[in-house]
Amino acid sequence: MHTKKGKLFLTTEFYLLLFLIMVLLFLGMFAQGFYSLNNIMSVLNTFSYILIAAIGMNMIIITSNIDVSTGALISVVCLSIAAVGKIGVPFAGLLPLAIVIGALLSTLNALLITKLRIPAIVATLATAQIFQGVLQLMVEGSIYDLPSSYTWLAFKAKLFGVMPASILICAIVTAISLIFMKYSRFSKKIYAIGNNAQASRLTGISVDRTTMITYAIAGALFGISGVIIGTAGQRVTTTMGTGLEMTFIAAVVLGGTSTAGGSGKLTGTIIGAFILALISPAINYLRISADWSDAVKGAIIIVSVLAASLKQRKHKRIITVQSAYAAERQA
Amino acid sequence: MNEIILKLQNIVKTFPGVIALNEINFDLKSGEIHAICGENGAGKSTLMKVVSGVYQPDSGTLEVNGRRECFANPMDAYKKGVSIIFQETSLFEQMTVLDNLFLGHEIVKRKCGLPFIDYAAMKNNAEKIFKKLNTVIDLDSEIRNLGMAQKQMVEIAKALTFDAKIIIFDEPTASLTEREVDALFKIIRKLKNEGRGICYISHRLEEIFELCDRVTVVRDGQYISTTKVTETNKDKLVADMVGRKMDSYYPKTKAQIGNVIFNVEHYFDEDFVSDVSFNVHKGEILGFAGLAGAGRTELMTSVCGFTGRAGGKIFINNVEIFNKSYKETMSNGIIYVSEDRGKYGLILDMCIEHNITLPQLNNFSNWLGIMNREKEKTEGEKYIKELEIKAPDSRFLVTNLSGGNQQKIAVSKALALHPVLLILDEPTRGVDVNAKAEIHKIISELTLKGLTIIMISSELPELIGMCDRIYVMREGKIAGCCERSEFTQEKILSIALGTEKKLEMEER
Amino acid sequence: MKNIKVKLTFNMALLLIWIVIFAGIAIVTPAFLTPDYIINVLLKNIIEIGMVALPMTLIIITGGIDLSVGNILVLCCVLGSMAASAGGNWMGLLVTIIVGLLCGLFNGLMIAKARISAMVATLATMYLYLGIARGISMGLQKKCVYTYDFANFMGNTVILGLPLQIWIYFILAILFTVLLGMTSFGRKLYAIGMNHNACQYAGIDTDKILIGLYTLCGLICALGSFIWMGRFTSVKYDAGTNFNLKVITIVVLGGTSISGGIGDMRGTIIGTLIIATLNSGLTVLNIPIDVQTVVEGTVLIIALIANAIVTRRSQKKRIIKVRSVSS
Repeated sequence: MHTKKGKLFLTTEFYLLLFLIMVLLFLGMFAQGFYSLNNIMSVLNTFSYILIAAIGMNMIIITSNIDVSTGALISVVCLSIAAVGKIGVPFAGLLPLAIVIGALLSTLNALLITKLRIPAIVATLATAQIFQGVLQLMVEGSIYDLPSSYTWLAFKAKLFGVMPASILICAIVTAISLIFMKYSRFSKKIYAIGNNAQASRLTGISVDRTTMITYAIAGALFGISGVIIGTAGQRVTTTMGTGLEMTFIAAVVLGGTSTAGGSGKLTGTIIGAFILALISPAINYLRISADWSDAVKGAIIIVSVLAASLKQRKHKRIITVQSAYAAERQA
Repeated sequence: MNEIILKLQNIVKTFPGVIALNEINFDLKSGEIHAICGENGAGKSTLMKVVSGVYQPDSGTLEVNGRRECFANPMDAYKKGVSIIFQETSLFEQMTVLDNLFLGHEIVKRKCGLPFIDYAAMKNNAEKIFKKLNTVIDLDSEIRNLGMAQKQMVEIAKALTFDAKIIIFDEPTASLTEREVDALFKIIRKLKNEGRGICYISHRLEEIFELCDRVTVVRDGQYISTTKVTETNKDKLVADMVGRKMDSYYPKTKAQIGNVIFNVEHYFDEDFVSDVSFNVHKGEILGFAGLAGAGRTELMTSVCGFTGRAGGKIFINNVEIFNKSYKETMSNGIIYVSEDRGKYGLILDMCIEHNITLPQLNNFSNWLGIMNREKEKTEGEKYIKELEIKAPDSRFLVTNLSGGNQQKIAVSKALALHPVLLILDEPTRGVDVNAKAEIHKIISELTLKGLTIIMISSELPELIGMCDRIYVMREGKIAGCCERSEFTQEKILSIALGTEKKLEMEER
Repeated sequence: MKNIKVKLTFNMALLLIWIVIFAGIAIVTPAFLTPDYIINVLLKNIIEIGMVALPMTLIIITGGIDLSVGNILVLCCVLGSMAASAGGNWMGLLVTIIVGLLCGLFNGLMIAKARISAMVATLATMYLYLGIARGISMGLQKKCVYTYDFANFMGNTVILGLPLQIWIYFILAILFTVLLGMTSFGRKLYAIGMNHNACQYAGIDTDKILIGLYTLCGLICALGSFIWMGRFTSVKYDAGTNFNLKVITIVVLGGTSISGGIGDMRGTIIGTLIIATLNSGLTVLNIPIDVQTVVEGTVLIIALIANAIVTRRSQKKRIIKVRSVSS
């Protein structure tokens, strides 16, 4: 019998938290200088932009879809705000612009998926290419010499003098997302269509509309994440976001969200994002070449996916045995 | 109490090629439990799917509380007070009980103008309902972690969150233990006393007599009768359920019946087939009767190696075999023809000859693997001729054939492997009358050539017309066995329902 | 048979499209028509992509996909040339092939045995193989992986006027066309793509076939990596990223349905020619490479839409039939 308290201890999130604590301890012992103020602040910044985007990716994956164009999308956002930031528009203007661009591009993805019935993987594979191509057509390589009004978020905006303000944005976004995923009727629809699209239709839910809104929200979140990434320096390149989608997917999958859709808690994504944020600096401080970070993230995805598959098969067996016992009792 | 709250008049529902409901009339009063019974395929489920909004009727009227209604989907029906508790629950497996109860109609409270889900109110509501149902369920557990009985309770609770005045139960006791059935009945009676109207679909006659007030019989999509439970008995109901004339089925050819070539002893599969023993003689047509869910397909697919074996022995010509896969079963000369030809039996988008040769591509290709198209064509045309399949040539796509001809292809596929024992699962399901007769003729002639047949069927006249012996299954076990001399529809159905007078159990 | 008729007209339409594009570019730029250009720019640049598109056609016909092909190719290059510089030509050859086989095998096992969907499995391995390639070649900073004799041979030899790789493609194209269209193996692939369940009920060992298929794909990637290495003489770890999209585009353009069950190797070959012509044509017309990138993405979307329209029409017929079967 599972008591309420007992339940708390057997969830995926708990094991994940345990894993995180072990990693932190390990780093404390073996990674010289990891807990320096500088690094901690840097990790918090990375954590912020990973988590914000991962929240969006989580929603998309719950609906049984995916998005591999996120990296290119973020590159577009970065260059758009850079172009505008160069003429002096302050952060307060860059943020809404980024949100709008992100949401629009993501909605384009959703249109391909819902209206043209193209599977999400192939559609976003194509749009990744298109976003990147169009971007490189419009901008030659990079935009540089950006004014200090542009890099305000990274260099000037600090909490308590040291903490990057991006963590505040992250906190606000996360808080809103947690409330949204728990208390909105819409979030129930997301889980429903991920569980069983056909049954959802019978319940009166519009699968297409729900999918489009999900991608739009995720796009907005990608935009916010893009602002944090893009305003980090005085130079913005056309490949700033390349490959980021894999990091976000890794955070989501590590956090326990099933790639088949229908399940996945935000709390897991938070822990997953934090672990992902640790990887690059951890590799650095452990004196391993930074070039191994992709391999580590890739391995994380594979192990997570294999573990989820094993868990599901064990679960199926248990249900079969249960019903066999039920039948025997009846005999 | 006792007003008519649901009324169906002349409901007609057709699907391509078949009339599922043919002018059905039905009414339900408040404070009543009204049973609907009939054999497999009689139309009970289709009727209730029309009532609950899954299907829309082609013609006829549906009135709820005197108002004409047409439900676009089940949610529509739920909102108007009609709820259906399905056999296969329509719950969302990875969501919680509470989420499932209120999906689509969550209780919200407004804060700063925005709607927030009010978990407290929903929990309160849910707890009251579960208390009324005398059930304890953790509202936060996921549906996939619940047992069948609990899932059903959640479905019932869901109906009550809509305060459904009309609740339909579709074979609710199929996967429940006796204790759970008792608990369910208590609840149903309580709901009845609250003035709701209950439809109870079942083939379990003892339950109908224990629980219900009136009973309606349907047969082959037709309305047959409605009587008060107190004014009828089991035999009358059975007679109504089967009362069809014995059509001219192909006269049974007398084949030479030899020794036992295949027997199964004390067989258990991994699910609910338990302690099954049967044997087959060479040249025999052995029937397997039983109601849906009795375990016939499960037994055969397990014996053939598609699913696992938990215990028991299988013998061919008295030599024990240990087949772990269907491929091994095939190499022993036993071929299984699935009941669902669209899903498992055939590849609809492929042509006739490709379907026939699929299980034995090695025999139609050379050492390099290159297919011998001529040989395939010859094989295809051979069976088109032998089984009188109505197709222009063997390159015709199977999906464009009629149901009867498709079934003939499925049989050809099996025959091409030159089996010793052929297991046919519902060989004439979804097949028109003429093709049915042709298939029966084919089956009979096969035994003349020395082939042995096991036939699973839900059509009693078919079994009675074709078989030498019939085993009857019920709830995963063999409930009885009949010889040809004692075949009657009533007798077989009684054994299948469990209402037989003699203790057939001893006869194994 | 109706099906065959439709396929011939589809392939003919594709051929026509190719001729139109080819002619169009040739008219604008006569230099396009020289045999030197056609061989050394148009054809040579598409070989690796075209080679991998062959097994990819088979994979997509079974209803699966392999997003990691480009990265397998790059990983083979990296490990192969490192092995060659350590142990000579034969080492390089051996390691390249083994790496290709192992990567493909891993994909196959994840999909068939661990029952992970092909998209998720190969998305994950795509990233993993990329990561390994990056780590081992230590990114761009320290080492660029260099070519070796065997790769040189594969990439640069000319036999009877045509580069060796074109001959190789020629042979592979014929082999795969025969494999898909005329052998029992090909028949099983179509069957798995059309109805996986029915195959199991016909006694076909679908797991074995799928594992073999993905492993074969890995092998072809290894072959492609020799040629690639020989041609480019050095390779960056992320060279495979664009590759995947191009391969899938060719396969879909060639008439293979992304949901499986429908496809024709000849279509893929013509699709290869079309993309080759588009690529080199756009270059010769001095259209910037970024436009080419956009064009490639757009072509994929258009091909998918066209495919969907054609499949939906034939699916509608099927749904009605299935209903009558199961009622």
